[in-house]
Amino acid sequence: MCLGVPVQVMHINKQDRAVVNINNIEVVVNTALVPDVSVGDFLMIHAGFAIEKVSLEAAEESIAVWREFIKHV
Amino acid sequence: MFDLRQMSNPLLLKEMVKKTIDLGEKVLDKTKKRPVFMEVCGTHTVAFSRSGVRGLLEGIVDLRSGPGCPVCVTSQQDIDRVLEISRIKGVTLATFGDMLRVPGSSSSLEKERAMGADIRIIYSPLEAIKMAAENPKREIVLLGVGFETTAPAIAVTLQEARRKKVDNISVYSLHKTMPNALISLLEGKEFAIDALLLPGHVAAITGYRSFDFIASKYKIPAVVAGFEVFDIISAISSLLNMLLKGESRIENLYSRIVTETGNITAQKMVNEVFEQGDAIWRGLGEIAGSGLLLKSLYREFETLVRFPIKITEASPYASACRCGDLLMGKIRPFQCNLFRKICTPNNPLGPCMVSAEGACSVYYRYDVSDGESGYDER
Ligand code: SF4
Repeated sequence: MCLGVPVQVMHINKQDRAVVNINNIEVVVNTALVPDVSVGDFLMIHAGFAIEKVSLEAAEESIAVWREFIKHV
Repeated sequence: MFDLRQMSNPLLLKEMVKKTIDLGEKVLDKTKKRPVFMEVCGTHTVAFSRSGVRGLLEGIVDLRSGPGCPVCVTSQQDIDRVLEISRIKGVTLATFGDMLRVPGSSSSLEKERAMGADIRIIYSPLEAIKMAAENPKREIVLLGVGFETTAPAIAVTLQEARRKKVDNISVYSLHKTMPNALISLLEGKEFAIDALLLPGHVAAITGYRSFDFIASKYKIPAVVAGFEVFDIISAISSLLNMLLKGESRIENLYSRIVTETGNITAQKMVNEVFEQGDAIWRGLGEIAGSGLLLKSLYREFETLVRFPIKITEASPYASACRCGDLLMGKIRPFQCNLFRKICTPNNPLGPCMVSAEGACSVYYRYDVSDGESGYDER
């Protein structure tokens, strides 16, 4: 049920529906739980619903912390 | 734009594993015993086994599964009730696929379907609304199995059913919520877990602060983590670090999705439709305030109001299957005498061998002994 991988929004269909790319297949997901979804956003999906947007900045930051740790500790 | 595939950079992962093993050896030096960590969420169980990280870190940490596989924690009496519901004339049962092969006392949904019950597998609960509209003479029963992550989807579905005036749909809510189950686990006399890896997508909904009690009251270190290999190695490293320093905190390592307070829109949807109730968990028993029941405003959509069901007898396998012990982190699948010998994915004796997130089915698929390390003998 938990896809566990982020998917990217290809286009917005209508209110509360976004089309995402899952393994190169276009799948419609419900976005009622995540207001303000835009094309290009990465979403986490569960049971056909987007449950949250993925912050790319936060992901980059997590990796930067590890790179620093590996370099200096 | 940052490329998320960076999280799978093998050179980075290799260095992370090295650092984590160094850290683990320091903890071993200090405590003279391998720490026991619980990955509460079934999706983490899959991530550890499929990636091989569980085996890779076997020397420094004993990783146990927890009560985070929704199908697995569904009690035997609830499974039996579901089977009774599927037999009612005129009922179409809409369920996530994992429930199909779970053995009840004397049958399974798969067997009921073979005998003529109308059981449909859905991916999203919204499909049940379409099903109800297309089959106005049938009663669609949506099986609500899942945690805080699934409940918002069911809540939106019921709100939509009400808006569209679809009245031949009901929900059998077996939803469970994590905090009180974890409290019950932490209060257990036999609890012997040193640190917890918390379910990332539950925390995305509830916010990581909802798990504060683990550190503040029970002094157990815990991390909220995602499901990439990067994430699970980070989680182990962070927990080892806390153990080494003697700290107990809740660390949010999944900040790309999880915030302090969670998804407020989803919480509102859930609060509109559900209220806290008691739930029976396999292994853990009845836990007050660990279930989600429909509020009176939505009671008309409650399956048990429409169809009062009697419960059948307990399973003859109940004593042999050790799913319950597994879900409490007491054992690993290898320690069940039936694992791989009698109980297999083709002949599952318990839900932990059925669900894709169940520890037994996950270990069956991915965790093999190399004949030397004795990995599956420990
Ligand atoms: S191997 Fe089978 S019988 Fe044993 S605990 Fe797992 S599901 Fe139950």
